[in-house]
Amino acid sequence: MRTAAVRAGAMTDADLELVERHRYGDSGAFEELYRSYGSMVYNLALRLTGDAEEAADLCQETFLRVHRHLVGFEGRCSLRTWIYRVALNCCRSHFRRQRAWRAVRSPDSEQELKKLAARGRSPEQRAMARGTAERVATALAELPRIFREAVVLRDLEGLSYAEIAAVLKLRPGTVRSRIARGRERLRLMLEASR
Amino acid sequence: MKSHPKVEILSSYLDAELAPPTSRRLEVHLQECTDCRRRLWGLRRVAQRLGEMERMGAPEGLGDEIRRRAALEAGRRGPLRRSGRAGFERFTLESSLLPAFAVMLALVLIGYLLSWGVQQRRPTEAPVAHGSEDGEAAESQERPGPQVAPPEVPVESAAPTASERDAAAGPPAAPAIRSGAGRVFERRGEVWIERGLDSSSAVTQLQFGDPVVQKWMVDHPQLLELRRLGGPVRLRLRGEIVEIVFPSP
Repeated sequence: MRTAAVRAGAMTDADLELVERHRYGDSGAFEELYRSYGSMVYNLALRLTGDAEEAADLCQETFLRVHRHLVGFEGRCSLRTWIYRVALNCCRSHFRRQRAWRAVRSPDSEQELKKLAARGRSPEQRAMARGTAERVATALAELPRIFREAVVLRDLEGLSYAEIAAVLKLRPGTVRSRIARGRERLRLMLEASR
Repeated sequence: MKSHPKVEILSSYLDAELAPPTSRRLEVHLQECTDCRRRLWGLRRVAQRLGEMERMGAPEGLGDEIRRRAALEAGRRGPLRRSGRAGFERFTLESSLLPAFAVMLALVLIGYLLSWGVQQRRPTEAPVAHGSEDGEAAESQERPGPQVAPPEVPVESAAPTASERDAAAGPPAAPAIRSGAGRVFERRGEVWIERGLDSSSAVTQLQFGDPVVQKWMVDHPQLLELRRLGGPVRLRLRGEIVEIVFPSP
């Protein structure tokens, strides 16, 4: 646990080099960054939103923010943890915008939006929406956001408790509780849907 | 372990995040308790199924699009921003000036409101100044020379007060200039046109219910403010001039 805590807070030499190269205008550094973390960010957004198109938009937003603010990155945590945090903040802003929109939209526009959402489903999503995978994905989508974030970071992304605490800026005890309660809710939902 | 362990203990046990003594006590309990074994098994299955979910690669072309937009942004920011720590320090300096800007803005707003309030009060004071009981009014009408015109009430007031609206006999006249979604609009006929737009340019007309408009509203919820203007709104969006026809309230 202690090693994990150290790892979550440490910036590696490779990270440092990448950041320095970006600071001095090396465009290859940003490309390398996208190659290393593009898939990670896309999958996180996909699991949190459940929508391929939204995930692509959020992935783009995340990397643009990373590009904008990497010059000010101080290395208090690892680059991976920092990028996870940026991605998570993008997803949270997206959920807030959606909530604001849902609060004001009229009934006829709601129908249009549903049509739009159905059109936006990718072949991957349609394939995923079958069998057990569908039940797991549906249950995950129904999980409250605070539990979903913790469970996705732990069981899908494979982060340690200390890393999750660093990404979510929470105490390890809270992280432990959110993961446990998220898994318990998923267990109950999956047993009920059998 | 006399009582059943909490779910936090079982979940942490799965991740090997328990202290060794707690872990040993739990194992002893699990040997005796079928319910807890079943619960632990259920949690393990959940974690396994989540771990087995297929990982997707980012869509093709997304990387190119991100690189293109990042390069565009970097070009707009100019080379100074590239100077590492200096750029970061400038950012923090700008941030520290924000409260000062906020105070200045508040002062300007208060000044404007005060002057507006004085202007609103003048018309009601006018009859008292002219008098009405000792023929002063008639005298002033007969007096030759330039007369002091009563203060003009602005017809195109941006925001009439509620009392003004109540006092008016008919419905209040809608102002010809209004702001919304951070832009300024002028009314020409029935249409609200964003200030600075060339009215002769080609316009794409879209209904509010159109999926494209719906998508914009999701991406930029502030555009919903434009509904308040009450009528079609013409503005520049993503380099194009569009006219959004909102449903009547």
